[in-house]
Amino acid sequence: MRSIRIVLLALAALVTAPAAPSSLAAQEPSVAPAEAAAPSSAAPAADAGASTLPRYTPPRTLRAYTHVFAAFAVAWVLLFGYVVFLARRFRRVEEQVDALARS
Amino acid sequence: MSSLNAPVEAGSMKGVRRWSVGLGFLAAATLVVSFWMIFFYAPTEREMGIVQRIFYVHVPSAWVAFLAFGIVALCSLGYLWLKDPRLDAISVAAAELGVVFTTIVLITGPLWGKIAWGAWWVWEPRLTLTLLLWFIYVGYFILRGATDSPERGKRFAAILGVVGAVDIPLIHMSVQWFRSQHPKPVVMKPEGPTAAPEIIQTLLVSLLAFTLLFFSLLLARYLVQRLQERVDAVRFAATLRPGASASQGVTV
Repeated sequence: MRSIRIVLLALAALVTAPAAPSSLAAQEPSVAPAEAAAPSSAAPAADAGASTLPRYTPPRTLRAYTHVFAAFAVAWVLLFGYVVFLARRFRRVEEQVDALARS
Repeated sequence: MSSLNAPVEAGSMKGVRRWSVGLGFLAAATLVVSFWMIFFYAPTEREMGIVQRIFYVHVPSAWVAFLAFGIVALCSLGYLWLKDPRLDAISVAAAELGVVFTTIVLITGPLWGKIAWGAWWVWEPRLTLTLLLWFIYVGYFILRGATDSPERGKRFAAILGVVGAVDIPLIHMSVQWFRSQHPKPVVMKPEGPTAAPEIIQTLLVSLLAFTLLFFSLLLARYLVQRLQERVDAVRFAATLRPGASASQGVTV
């Protein structure tokens, strides 16, 4: 039941998260669209008239570096944590197998 | 104790362990290369700047999560048909890894989105369906443990594993079918990839590294699951043996 409570709390936190302001797309002047990259930051780029709208340009601040660091750190901490969890679980099961084999 | 020491099973378990360790080393080597490519080889994207590099962990995680849930669906279908416990063990292992990698996707996405879109989260189709996928497979584990009979729990979870996979093509196609804020694919396009070659090469190496890591962890988790099932089976048999004391073969 504890896990269900955690899931419900996570859902509640997400529901209260702010939605993207639709005016973001018109906040900053246009820059040349980068063909090279995957993520187009122009939100409504799928629309027919999107090319006439000015694009939202992400701010070039130190905060972007923090986000990159956080993303990589979270990914690797999660994966490393999972590997440690798996190794401990494996050792525990092996101990159980040994104990059963002895008995 | 015969089931614990069955030579054929023990041999195959050793093989699985060897493959898991081998793939783990290969994954580690490929990850080192991919790290070098992400930070020293791939160019900084003109429009987004440095934050675009989250792409190299976000996209491979999403790919691996889809692969994991695809394996869950196939093995669950096989389990419902053949009732082979090995298929159930693979499903459990893949579902657990799928949840881990989807969690990475759901954390790295908002970190990227906050800079790119100005918002941590947007209730648009792809993001919402990905969150739904995460809930489905968290539900998979809750369902397994929620029934009185373990066999019934496995069967219900297998059905959810098959039904839940319907969400995968929906997530993939959502950017084409619906008005979506999420960017469209840049690699898997009919007219070919539109990104710079260095970006594509770095992405492919990251995809390879994450895929190798996934299979290494999948085999390790499968091994743990099979060993645990055997321990549980032996303990259960010990409790049924006439004259066996309650603690015999149970206290570890």
